[in-house]
Amino acid sequence: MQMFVEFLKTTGFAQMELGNVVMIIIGVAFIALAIVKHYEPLLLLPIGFGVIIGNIPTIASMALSVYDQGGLTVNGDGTVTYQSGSVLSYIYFGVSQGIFPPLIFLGIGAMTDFSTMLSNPKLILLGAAAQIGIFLTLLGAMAIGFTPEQAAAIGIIGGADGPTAIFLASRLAPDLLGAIAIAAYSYMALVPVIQPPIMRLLTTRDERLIRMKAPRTVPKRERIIFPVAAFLICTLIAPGSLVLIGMLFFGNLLKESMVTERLAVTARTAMIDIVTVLLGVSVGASTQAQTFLRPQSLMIFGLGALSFAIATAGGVLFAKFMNLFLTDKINPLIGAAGVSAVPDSARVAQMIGQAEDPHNYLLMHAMAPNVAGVIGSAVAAGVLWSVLL
Amino acid sequence: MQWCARKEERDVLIVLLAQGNGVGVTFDVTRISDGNGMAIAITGMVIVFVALTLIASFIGSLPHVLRFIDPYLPAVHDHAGSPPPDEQLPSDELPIVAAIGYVLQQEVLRTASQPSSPKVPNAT
Repeated sequence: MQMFVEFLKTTGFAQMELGNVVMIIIGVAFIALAIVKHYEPLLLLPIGFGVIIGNIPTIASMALSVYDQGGLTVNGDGTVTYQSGSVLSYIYFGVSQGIFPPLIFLGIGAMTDFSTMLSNPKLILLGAAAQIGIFLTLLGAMAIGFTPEQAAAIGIIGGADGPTAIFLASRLAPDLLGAIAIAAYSYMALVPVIQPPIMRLLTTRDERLIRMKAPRTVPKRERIIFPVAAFLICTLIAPGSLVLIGMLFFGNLLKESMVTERLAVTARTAMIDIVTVLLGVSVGASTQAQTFLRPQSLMIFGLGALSFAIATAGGVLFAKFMNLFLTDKINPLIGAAGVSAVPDSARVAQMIGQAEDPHNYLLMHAMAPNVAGVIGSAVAAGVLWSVLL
Repeated sequence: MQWCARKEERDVLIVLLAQGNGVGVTFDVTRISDGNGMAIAITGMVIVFVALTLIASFIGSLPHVLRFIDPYLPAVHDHAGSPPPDEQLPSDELPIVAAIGYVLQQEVLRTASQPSSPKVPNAT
């Protein structure tokens, strides 16, 4: 009987705290959003289930959570014992050591078509302008008391690039990694909700009706030369971006060279899917109520939203600024796609544009700042890492 | 807590959010200057713009460079890759070609099955 009572004390019901219940509800909400609303289901569903996994109370003596890492311990009698870590901690190793983000970038590179960007290179500047959200949020986070390293990791949420946010947070602010990752992916999922009001607010109807010239056909040679040259430019300027930019352009070269089709297909299908599953579940499992439900996390979510909004506004306003000097006007809506979040923010630009003119196809034009935003946020992460390390 | 440990009462001090545990969030711009925030932000933004501007310039000049080197290093199509778009059969013509082929084959078969008709050559 006593054993039964002791067992009851070890169950999840007995150890459950209010915080765990709240987090489990959040996890269920993520899963519901993924299934019902189709908000980034490939990310929100693994993260949501990971949140539930991470908030099941465990027995202290059993290595079960992502934070139960193995290691050597010296006993009182001088002997050394090795205790293995939990399975989740080994999976989480890929997140905490920044291994998964470059692998995801490899897959993104292998699936990205830079043709629209190559056909209209001035649109690349929109991808740069949208990165202003990162740096203004950095200032805001510092002003409310975060350290420069933490502020940089929070600001990168405005890059709307989950792998980049995780990579930089794992380097500069590992203690905030869970909250930053959840915030980054949540806002990426909420692109269709956050961006449209800002885009409508900052543009006139006439601007939203602007039609852009069809992009030119980009020869194969240009598409092959681009990843090598762009990699050299980015990493020679910001060596901190070497890992992310290197994998992005390596993946793109696999695709564009057309002689490594098998590798490119693997990178953009099986490999990126496996890494996404492992990353999503382990990031979700790292959000244990005891470490996640803090005022800090709420502030990170608030600053993340601010960063995202500033980035969107920055892209739109810079497009309007460029129009002052251009004869072939840019539809400012595509400036919002500079925040990365490929391809959702480009789709939003298309959606808002078609709401005014159903025959205006902005998607292909919006893809240019969209992929430029991926490069821009990776460079920004590299710069922040170099400056703050 | 590190993020709200400093309590200097200088410049702007705004309570943004009050948490249940009574901890207020203070907005203090001196923290930005203390942490060299402006320099980090401006440096970061400038580097991002420089990198992407250089990429844009490179892409803009690439067609001219390729045109210049064309006589010395002409574009070649290796057999491993697919042919360039102008050498490819447009995909929307494939069903038409298939339909024409089908009709021709049916016509040949129909003609061949009639005993009085003259002998026709093999369709293949």
